[in-house]
Amino acid sequence: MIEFIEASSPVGTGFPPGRYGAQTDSPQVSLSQRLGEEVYAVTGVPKQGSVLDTCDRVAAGRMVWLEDPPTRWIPVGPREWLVLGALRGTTVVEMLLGGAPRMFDLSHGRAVFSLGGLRSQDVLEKGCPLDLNAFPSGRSASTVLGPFSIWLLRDPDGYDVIFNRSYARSGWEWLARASLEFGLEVRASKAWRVG
Amino acid sequence: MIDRNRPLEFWFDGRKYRGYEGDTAASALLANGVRVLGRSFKYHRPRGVVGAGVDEPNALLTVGRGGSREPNLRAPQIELYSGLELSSQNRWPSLKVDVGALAGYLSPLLPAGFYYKTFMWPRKAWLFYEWFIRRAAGLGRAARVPDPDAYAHKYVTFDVVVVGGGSAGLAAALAAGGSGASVLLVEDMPVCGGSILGLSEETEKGRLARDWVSAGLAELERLPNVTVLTRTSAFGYYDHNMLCLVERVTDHLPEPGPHVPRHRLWFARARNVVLACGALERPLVFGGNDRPGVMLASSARRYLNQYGVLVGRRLIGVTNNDSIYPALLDLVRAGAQVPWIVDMRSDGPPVCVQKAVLDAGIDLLLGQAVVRTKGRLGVSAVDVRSVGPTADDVHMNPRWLNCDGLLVSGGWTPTVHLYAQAQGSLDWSEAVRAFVPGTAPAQAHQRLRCAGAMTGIFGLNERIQSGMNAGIEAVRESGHASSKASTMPVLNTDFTEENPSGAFSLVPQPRRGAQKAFVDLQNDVTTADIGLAVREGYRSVEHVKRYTTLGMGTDQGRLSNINGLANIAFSRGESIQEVGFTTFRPPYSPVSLGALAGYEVGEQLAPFRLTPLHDWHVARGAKMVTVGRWMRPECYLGRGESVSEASYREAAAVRERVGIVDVSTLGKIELQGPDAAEFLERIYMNRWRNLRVGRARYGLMLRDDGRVLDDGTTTRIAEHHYYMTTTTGEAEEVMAHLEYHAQVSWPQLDVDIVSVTDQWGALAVAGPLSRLLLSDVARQDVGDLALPFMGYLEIDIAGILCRVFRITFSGERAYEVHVPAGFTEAVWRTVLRAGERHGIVPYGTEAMAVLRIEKGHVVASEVDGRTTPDDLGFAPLMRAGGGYIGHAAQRLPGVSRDDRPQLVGLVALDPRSPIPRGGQIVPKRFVGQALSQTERHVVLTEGHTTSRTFSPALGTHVALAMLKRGRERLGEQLVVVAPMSRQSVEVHVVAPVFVDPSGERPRD
Repeated sequence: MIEFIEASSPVGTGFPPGRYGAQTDSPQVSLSQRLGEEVYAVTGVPKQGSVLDTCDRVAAGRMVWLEDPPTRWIPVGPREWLVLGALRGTTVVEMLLGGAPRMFDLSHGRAVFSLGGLRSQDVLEKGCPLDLNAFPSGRSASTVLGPFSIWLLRDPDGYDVIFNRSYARSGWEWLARASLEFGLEVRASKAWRVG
Repeated sequence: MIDRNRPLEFWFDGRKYRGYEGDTAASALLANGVRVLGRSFKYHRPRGVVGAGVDEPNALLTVGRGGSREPNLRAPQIELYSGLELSSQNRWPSLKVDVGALAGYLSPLLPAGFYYKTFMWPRKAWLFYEWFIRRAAGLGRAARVPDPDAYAHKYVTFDVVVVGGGSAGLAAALAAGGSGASVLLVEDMPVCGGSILGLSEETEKGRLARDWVSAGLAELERLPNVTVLTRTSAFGYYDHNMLCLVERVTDHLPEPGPHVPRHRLWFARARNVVLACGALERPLVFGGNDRPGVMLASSARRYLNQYGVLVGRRLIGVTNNDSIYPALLDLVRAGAQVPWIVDMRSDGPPVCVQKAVLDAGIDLLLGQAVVRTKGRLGVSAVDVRSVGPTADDVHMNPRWLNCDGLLVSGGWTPTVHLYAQAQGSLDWSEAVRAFVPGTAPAQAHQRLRCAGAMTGIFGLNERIQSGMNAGIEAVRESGHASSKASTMPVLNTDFTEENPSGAFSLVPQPRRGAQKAFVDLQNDVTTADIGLAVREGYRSVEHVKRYTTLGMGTDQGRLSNINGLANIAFSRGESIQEVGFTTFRPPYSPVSLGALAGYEVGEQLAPFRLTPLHDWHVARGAKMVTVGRWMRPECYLGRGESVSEASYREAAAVRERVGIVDVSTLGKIELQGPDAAEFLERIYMNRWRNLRVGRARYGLMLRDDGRVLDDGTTTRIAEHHYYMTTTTGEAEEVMAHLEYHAQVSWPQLDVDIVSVTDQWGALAVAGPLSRLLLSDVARQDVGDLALPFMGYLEIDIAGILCRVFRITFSGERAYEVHVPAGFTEAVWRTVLRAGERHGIVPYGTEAMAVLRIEKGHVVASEVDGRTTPDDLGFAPLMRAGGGYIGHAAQRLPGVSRDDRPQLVGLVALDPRSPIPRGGQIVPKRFVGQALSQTERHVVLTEGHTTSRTFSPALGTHVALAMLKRGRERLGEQLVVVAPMSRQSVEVHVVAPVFVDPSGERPRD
């Protein structure tokens, strides 16, 4: 029999799945934790003609979605990316980069929260000084949300907000409380398991 | 506009009144015949409504009760709702009979700055006097219970922000909005329109001017790129076009919905700003100008045309400019009796206006002024005389004219506060007799333009045109094509070209029977106060302001500024330009503290960092403490135990058996790259190139100035892969230090550095039985050959791959187990379960401190930014030949001098005497002398204690200390004193390692 150990959530018991705040026909904000999301810092120099080199030329400074493996590559500095998604080992990254990468696993060190709904921008505007009207899908930024340092990603469905794990519980509650005004639906998250 | 079909009931000082939807507290109380709304700040004089908006200095009310009670709100800005509770301020026992009014009789003894000159003796009695002074003077009182309301912030960016929803602001927003640019229009009042709402004039098309407002607002509403914020005050203009606005979201609602913030603080960044802040009518300064019933003429007109309130039945007007005439003619048409208009100018208004006035049955008194007023709780008569600039020019004989209201107009003051905050220059305009935005451009990083009355333009058509021009220019500068001009109304009136300038607004007092003439109504500052300040030598306008309180309070000089400057200028015999003006600072109007705080109150004030084991600690009943931002268990209290008892018990268990502690807060940094070893050689002062894979080493890193920055262990995990741990407190500092040197000092080194502090939870298993325990849980050999002292292994515990380091902080055999954060609790529980048969105890930070002090390990108390490696006894670790940060500084005289404090241990001679925390070390010759003498000589201190504890291992109190030439003084007897706590303890000096000085136990 295989024994599974479930990873503990950094969020704790505050705001479990359910409806909160303003009673609207449908909640204007949704919040969920992407517990299964893997996060890596990857550094390396993309070789000319490699997938990442091509992407960098086409959309400098923009987030890159790759289908295989399904990952999001966020440029965080010269020859450095924050990668969300399962990289499945160094070989794939070598292929994408065209050279030897250095990978730092941050999957346990970051908490990724998805924020969606019609008023999600209003929630973020309560603490994020970026011009979110000029923050279309595909953009990412290192910024602040109230008292927190975060990474903010925009995709077609909404926003992903990345907190350092030790701040995740406070950050989760901050997002949830900021959403109450608009009606919040907290959605269930799937947990990691090893076995 | 009020809705008479929707009556409302509200309460003022416990009495029920009736008003209508759309009313303000001021309009409703005026309509109910209430003239006295408050008592003045210093003299407790009865005061009524003067203005009709943000300019109101007198009618300040307290709204609500309990925690939601808010004082000092301006009555013209309090929107009426059913059940609204209002109360007057600064009076006792009632508004009509106020004991504090006795201050008026004592006023000769209470000139400006009297409290600087009196109450000086005896010195200790000041607190006694202060109690009375504060009780006697002041405004409303803040609630004493917590505020139950929520507040929020909002950050936005717009192409154009237009401040002011009056005629010019509306025109600017219409012009800018039509271009497709994102536009924010900010209006302080519940509805846009500004002074137009108070007008009765018709346009050439036969429609009222305010219909243009309605049409404009409807047009703006259709534009999705335009946001109109009413009930919102722009109170601050900061660098790079950052405007701070406060939106009163629910103040006007009887039952605000749950979760809706009461106030919202907007941080609005604009590519371009149009300031259309308008102008405020100035009062005139004459004797008794503060009596209830004395009101600005434009406000009376607004109360009539916007709220349907006639502010009096028998009104007299007094003016020094033309703008009062349309107001009084409106009031006559509405049924008020206006027997006289007193015009201080000898030539009066234009002939056409004079004709209209005479046709309305009003007598025009030219070259005369109101010099005094009568009336106990409101004006009942005014003394009108012919006047000139000085007291000598005032006619000798009084002429009292009866009235129940006096409408005044002393000219118009452009509202330049925000422009000045934006570092815009101000020029004196003789035509307006006020400061207006200057010709010099504002600073380059502030992209703004002004429009409307604030620029000194007062004709309505001109104001609208200037707003449109500003809006078009703003969008053009923002990169948008300008839109076609919106329809503009042309007023069909004789009064469009008003002459708003007043010749002079300070009316000289008669030689006999002079009354107090108030320059600043809110702060009870009179012409006499300003004259006194000037006579006493206060030259700078800033000093006069502080001495007299002119322009302070919630009013911020909105009405009093120009009159105050004119008064100073008159007293000094100078021009107003020579006097200058005070600095305009935010906030323009008051902002609630709740709005400034937003969400960051209570637990959200500063977020805590939690370790992956936080929930376990809390469930186990740990006493949690904050360490920096982290929450950590201080100890696990047993039944009836104190913190000390619990921590000594936990420390003893580690010495005797085995303990487990959460050390997840340690900073953790990974370094990868072929030059990682070289990088560490330069960062640390000890050697790293010879560290083998699978081994850890203690390291000390210095700052450029040779002082110790931090210490910790770094492990070579693979050939080009290192794992560094830092102290909890310096983790971020060290990471910044590494990044700086990697990017700036040595960019040629091929090394990548990433903080992984949050990735790894960490637990330390310490004590003589720790190896046995680790063997029980590890699925591989953890014997001394496989995992020697300062060794490293990747170990499977409960199916989780953990990084295990054999390093110690306690002086006992110990293993630091680093676990991916999500699995840390699972591993912790596994180790605890297995440890039960070994008598394992979890221990907290307090026991950890006991253990590390006994072992002489330094922490932030010793590495305090002043200590050098040699001070701490680490000189032998310093690499010969240098080549690391801080090496060169070791030769500096201050770093290398002989008498520097050195780390030593102290043992209390009396085992019952705790050594004072932070105590000063003084020579032995003070032993046995009176404490007071010791205190006098405390300046002769030889050093100080850095950490102290009771040592369960030694059975006495010990401490670590920094002592001058400490290592030469082992065995010496000294005294540790703490004058503040009057403690004095004899100690003897020992080496700073109290337990296992040979260091054998971690290796056993």
